Amino acid sequence: MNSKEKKDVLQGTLDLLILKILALGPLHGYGIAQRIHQVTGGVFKVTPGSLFPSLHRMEEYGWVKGSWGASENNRRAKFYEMTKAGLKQLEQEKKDWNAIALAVAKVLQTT
Amino acid sequence: MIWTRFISVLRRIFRRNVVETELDDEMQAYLEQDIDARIARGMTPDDARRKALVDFGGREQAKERVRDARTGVWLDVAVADFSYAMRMLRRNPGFSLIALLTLALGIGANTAIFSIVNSILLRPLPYQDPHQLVWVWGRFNLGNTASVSPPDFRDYRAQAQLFDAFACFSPVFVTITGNGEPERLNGSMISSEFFRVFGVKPTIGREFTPEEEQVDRPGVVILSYGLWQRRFGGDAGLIGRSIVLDGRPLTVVGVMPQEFRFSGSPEAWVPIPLNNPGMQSRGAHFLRPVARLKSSTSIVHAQAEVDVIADRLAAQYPDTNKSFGLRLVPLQDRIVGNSRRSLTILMVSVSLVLLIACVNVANLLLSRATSRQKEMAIRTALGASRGRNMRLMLSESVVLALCGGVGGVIFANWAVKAVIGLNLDFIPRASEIQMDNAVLAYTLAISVFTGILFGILPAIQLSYSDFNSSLKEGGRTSSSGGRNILRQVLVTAEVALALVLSIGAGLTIKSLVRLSVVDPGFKTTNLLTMRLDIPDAKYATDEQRAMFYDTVRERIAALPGVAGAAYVSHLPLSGQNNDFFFEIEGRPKHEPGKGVTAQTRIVAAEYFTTMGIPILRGRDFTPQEARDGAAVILINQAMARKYFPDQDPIGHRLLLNDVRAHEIVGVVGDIRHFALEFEPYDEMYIPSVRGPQANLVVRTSVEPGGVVRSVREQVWAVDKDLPLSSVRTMDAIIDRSLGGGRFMMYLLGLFSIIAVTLSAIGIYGVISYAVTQQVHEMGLRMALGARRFDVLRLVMRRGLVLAGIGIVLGLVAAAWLTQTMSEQLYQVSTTDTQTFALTSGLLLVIALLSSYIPARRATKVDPMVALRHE
Repeated sequence: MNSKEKKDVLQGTLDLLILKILALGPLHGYGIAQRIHQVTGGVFKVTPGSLFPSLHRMEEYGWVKGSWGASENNRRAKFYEMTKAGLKQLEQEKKDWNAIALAVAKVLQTT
Repeated sequence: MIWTRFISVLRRIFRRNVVETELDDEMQAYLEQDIDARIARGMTPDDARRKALVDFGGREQAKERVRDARTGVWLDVAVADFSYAMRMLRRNPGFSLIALLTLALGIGANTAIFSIVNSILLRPLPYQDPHQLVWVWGRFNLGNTASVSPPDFRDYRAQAQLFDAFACFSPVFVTITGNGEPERLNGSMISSEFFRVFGVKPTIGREFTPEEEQVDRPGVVILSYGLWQRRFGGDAGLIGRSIVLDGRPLTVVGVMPQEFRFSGSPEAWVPIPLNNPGMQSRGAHFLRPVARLKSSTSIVHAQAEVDVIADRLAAQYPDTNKSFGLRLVPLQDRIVGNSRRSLTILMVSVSLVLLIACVNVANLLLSRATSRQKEMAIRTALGASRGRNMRLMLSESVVLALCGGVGGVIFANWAVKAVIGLNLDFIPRASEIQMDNAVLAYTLAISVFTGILFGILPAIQLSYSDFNSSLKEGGRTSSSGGRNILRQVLVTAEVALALVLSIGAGLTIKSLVRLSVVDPGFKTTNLLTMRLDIPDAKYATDEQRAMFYDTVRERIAALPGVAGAAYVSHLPLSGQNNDFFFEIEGRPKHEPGKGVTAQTRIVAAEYFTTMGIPILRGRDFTPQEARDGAAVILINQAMARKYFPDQDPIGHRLLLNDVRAHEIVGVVGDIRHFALEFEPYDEMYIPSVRGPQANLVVRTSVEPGGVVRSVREQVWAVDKDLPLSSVRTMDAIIDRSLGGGRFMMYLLGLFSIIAVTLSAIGIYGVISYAVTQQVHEMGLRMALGARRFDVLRLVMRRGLVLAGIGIVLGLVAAAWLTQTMSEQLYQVSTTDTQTFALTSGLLLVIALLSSYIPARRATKVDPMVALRHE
């Protein structure tokens, strides 16, 4: 299924970003979107239309685990938490991303 | 990971609402948090909500994307299609019912026949590692299916290395006395490793030891589970105690498991006394070996090994073994071999029935297509792709077929039970017939396949129709000409298939009729037969036995309603037979191993008159000769013609089995001994009956059932411990021998009736549809002066053309397919003109009838109404 995800680079990147953020601690959907927005300095703006499909798919794969809890301002929200499989996946995705970034950089360096 | 996905799929199927609500809640939470954040940044609540909603984007689209991202999104679609299909079926109960019945019948018949095929041909034999089991035939130059003599068996067993176990058995009848009524049982003499061949051990007790084979008269016995339960109440303490078999006490050493069954279902096993003086002749072939190959070897290697041993024995004992060897066949082939062809024919026939059922349902679907066209057009207009529409149509037909499959399983379950209930002894492994998981899997597979098969054409047809015109209200109905052609092609195919089946059934019927009028060469009505077994413990000498036979015969012959009684060693048509080598005195002797044989019967006085076999030349035995076993012989006409073509055989002498010369005193008529379909063999009759077993034949002047009781009483008046077995009339024996053929005939007949009925419905459907489409045209014709007869002719001609083409195709297909039946037919050619012509004619008449009904409706059209209809 890795290869399937690779087809859509942006999709894959989103998974990587979400996993990276969840590695810091459990967070709900809105929080994840905000964090990505902040961390990337507004480069990535994640809409619910791409955030939730990604979260639900990763939940099915067992990379993240969702559970309902209360948010900062006491609203009911679904919190996502990284699983062991997710951590492994994050390492894999990181490696893949670095390989791609390196490859792209090489291409760009050749004048 | 697979696991989490699986859970997720399950959750979506069974907790659909929960999953959807959670998704909704989650998005709502996102939205509200966004609004909260915006308000916190200083926006007014209204502004915050508006902005948040804009940023969120399409909520439904987002949900849809989540659903699409999930595993097995196809499943959701399938569930939707399924529930839609169920709704459609419920909305058209008439259509659904007819289609369901047709499919249930087709699938049910297939399932039933497949359960039989599966149980008999496909399922391995119920023994451990059944593929290692081989049946061992003795093989002469001429015959391939001989038995093996005890000394040969011992040599093969000792020398063959590639077998885990090499055993033999020989069926015997034993009489059990004490513990209630005397009872005659099927028994079996076995060598010590017999049960090891099958990989079974006694439930309680032990197997026979090799030492027990060495004893002249066995003193031990192993019982079947059934006998142990029936006669001894399943008493485990029976082991070590003795029971009385054939008048002698034997110690019970074991009881076999309930499920162990093999060849003739014996109920008592005794060790075979291989050292007994009667077991020392290499020429006496009567043992049946069975063996288990070593797992490391193949039947080819094992065959090569026994061939080497055969050569060795031939060199050692040229007189008896010069042309004798063994032939190994897989045990399964031996047990089910004969039924394979018949079952294949049944399987093909029943598949044709299902095919016809498919065609019919496809036709029904096509006729409904007009009403579905608008629906499809709307779906297309709303954005459904052609593939999506086709998938919906196919889901409907698969759902229909699956429902039909459920009905089919119920129907098949009933049919299989009925077949088992018939207790058909000509079906091997009949007791193992059942519907297991393999059968259910098969039914599921053919149901889905059937659904696709009959659904695909209508689905394609529908998805390619011109939606523009069908959306226009009141579009002219005659635009569906193409579909009607398709329906006509289907009906033609249906007629062709039905004809093939009917011809198959017709040939079987004709063959059976031919067979049942065959003259077996003796008078079969009012002939009662039974078997007598005289325990040698009580009647030890020939004289004692002869005395017993004579007394019983005289008493029975004197009974009212009895016209005559006699004994014979081997009863015609009952599977008993025996042959002797013979030499004609005065002619050059045959070389060893190349001798000629003839079927040999030992008979008592009055046998020929009792049976109604004519004496053609010479004379019958005199009572004196019959009693003393004089050296006289009668031969049958076939033998007289073969060996004495231009001579009078009477007065010649035959040397039997190199022992004793018999003078031919008469020639008798031929009888069919083996089966009605086999030409008479060469036969010899010698006196006199003195052995421990004999068949009593009683010619009655009244209905034979009426004298059974008094015959029994006469036997028991002489010896009250003597069991009578196989009490049957000759008519019943003949009836049984026709059983297999009749079973085939009934099934094929049933299949062809279903097939013909379905195709008649098919023709009717197509013609009435055409008539409905052409009401306008008919009205016009009649307004212009056509007579009713012209209209009738016009409509019926269409039916006739369809049927005609179908029949021609069917004849060609039948001529090709029936070739496979040649072995099943008796004196009927596989392309029997009469059968082909009659069935074609019959089908044509049925086609005419089924197009007559709609044609008559066409003639009733009122021209004014039809024209105004526009």
